[in-house]
Amino acid sequence: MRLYEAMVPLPSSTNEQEGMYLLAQCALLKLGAEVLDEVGHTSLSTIIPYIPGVVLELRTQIDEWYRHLPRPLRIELDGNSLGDTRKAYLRCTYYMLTAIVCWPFVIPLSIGSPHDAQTTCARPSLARISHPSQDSVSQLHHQPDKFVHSHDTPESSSAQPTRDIDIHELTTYRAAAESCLSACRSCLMYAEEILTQKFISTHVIVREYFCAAMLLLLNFNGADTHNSDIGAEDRQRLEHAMRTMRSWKVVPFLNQSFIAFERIAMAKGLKDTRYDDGVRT
Amino acid sequence: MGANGKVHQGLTSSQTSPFSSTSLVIGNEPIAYFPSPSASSAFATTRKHRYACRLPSLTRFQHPSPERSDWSWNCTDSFFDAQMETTADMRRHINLHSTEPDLSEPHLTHLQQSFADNVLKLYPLLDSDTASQHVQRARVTGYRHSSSSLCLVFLMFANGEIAADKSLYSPSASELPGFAYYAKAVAIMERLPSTSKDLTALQCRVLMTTYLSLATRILEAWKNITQASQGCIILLKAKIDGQASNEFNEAFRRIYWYALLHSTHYLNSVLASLPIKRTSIFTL
Repeated sequence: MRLYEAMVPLPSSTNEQEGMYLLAQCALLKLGAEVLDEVGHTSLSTIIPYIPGVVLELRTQIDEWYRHLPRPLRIELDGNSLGDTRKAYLRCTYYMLTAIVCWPFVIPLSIGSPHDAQTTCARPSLARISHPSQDSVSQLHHQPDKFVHSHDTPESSSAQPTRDIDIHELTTYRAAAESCLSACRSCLMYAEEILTQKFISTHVIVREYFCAAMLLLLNFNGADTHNSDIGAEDRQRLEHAMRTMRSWKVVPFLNQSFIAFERIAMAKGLKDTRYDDGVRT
Repeated sequence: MGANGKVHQGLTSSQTSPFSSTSLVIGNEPIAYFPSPSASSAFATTRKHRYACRLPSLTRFQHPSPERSDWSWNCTDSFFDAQMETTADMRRHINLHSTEPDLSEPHLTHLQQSFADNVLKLYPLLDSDTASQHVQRARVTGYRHSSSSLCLVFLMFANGEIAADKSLYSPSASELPGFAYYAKAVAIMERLPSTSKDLTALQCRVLMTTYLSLATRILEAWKNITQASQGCIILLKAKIDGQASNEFNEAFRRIYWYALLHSTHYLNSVLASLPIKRTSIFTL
């Protein structure tokens, strides 16, 4: 079907908001297809040679999509409930795409061995990243001017003071990984208002919610919760996510994955939420 | 991916050729060959997979660290098993003609309103005036004249009923809200030609998909949206748009874009863990 896109103009609509929502969805669909096609997920080693360029371009496109949303569909990036399923769906998917783009950076730093992390961080190509991918997602939209200037990547990176290239690259990797985790946290928070109801695309949000929770869980270190606020907050988020997902266990094919999630969560020292209501699920 | 979900990909022909083939291997057995679209991707597939890892999905996850293989899971088979079972259950109930839909006017008005609020507002496949005209025609004929228009009306009611229901999932078709309307629509649909220029029949396919989506019958939803997509492609190949009216073209565009949106969603669900090259779109 995607091969025929150019042959079929976008539909028009007499209802302004309805038409805008369709266009926003179509644009997000095309963007999502591109993100998943380009980033790829089967192997990080496939991605490493060109990931900086890919991240740079895709993050730009995702944020351009956000910035060009028409006023009736404008999404607030604060913690408030939008009270509009359409906007909530767009916001959640926006964060999930952001997370996926930066996801490969999470693996070597958070999941792989220390040796692996050092190996990947020694790649000189990463030194040239100077883009929103280094920033947390929330920072991006509070500093819109910063993004415009970031397009002149080679110049800005060459203008930076000389420093140990390995440290610079490690920082970049960590910043990109943090960008992914930050987007996962937002996705978890904003999906809540959709998951409590049933609508046509809820199953998409269930998948996004699970994926975001899993990425955050894999990066979660129980020991950090005593040392940092973020660690403690992540513990709360993940325990809350387990409770939210439990209501979806009624769907048979979701049950096994949620049990697997709980098994990893227990191993990482998270509270066993299965007994919160006194009944084993 | 083999017994433990392990997939190895390798090249079978020249590694430097931009059009070399990629062999997909499960365990030690090659199962398929795919042309690599570019030299760079051919190169990439030969690299050592030190971090072989997919984005975690609901059906499968393989932890990149061998020490943590106990954290991996693969429930693809149970996903397909469960989905095939629900499909068979729905078919059984459709064949039984066990329940007659409630055709009382106040109830149908309520369902039509629920359809407009919960489905059309999110996916305006057709405008509300056109929807009302279909319902009016069906009412005049006493919901008996078998046609794509009546099929569409039954699907509107089915969608309206399931969207208004608060339960997240119903394991049996007999308990599915709106299933009596859906069964009627399926019976009509089976008597319609499989390919035609009738856009209402294509709209029915999309509405069947939305109903099945709300019922979490993913495999069956995928089947219907695939048929809607095929219908769209056939009409595009037939180049009917040049001779058609503006209304026809606008209706077709809506069907095409909604079919595209839905098919992407269902491919994500259904093919979530098939180990095919360049299927990263399916891995979420």
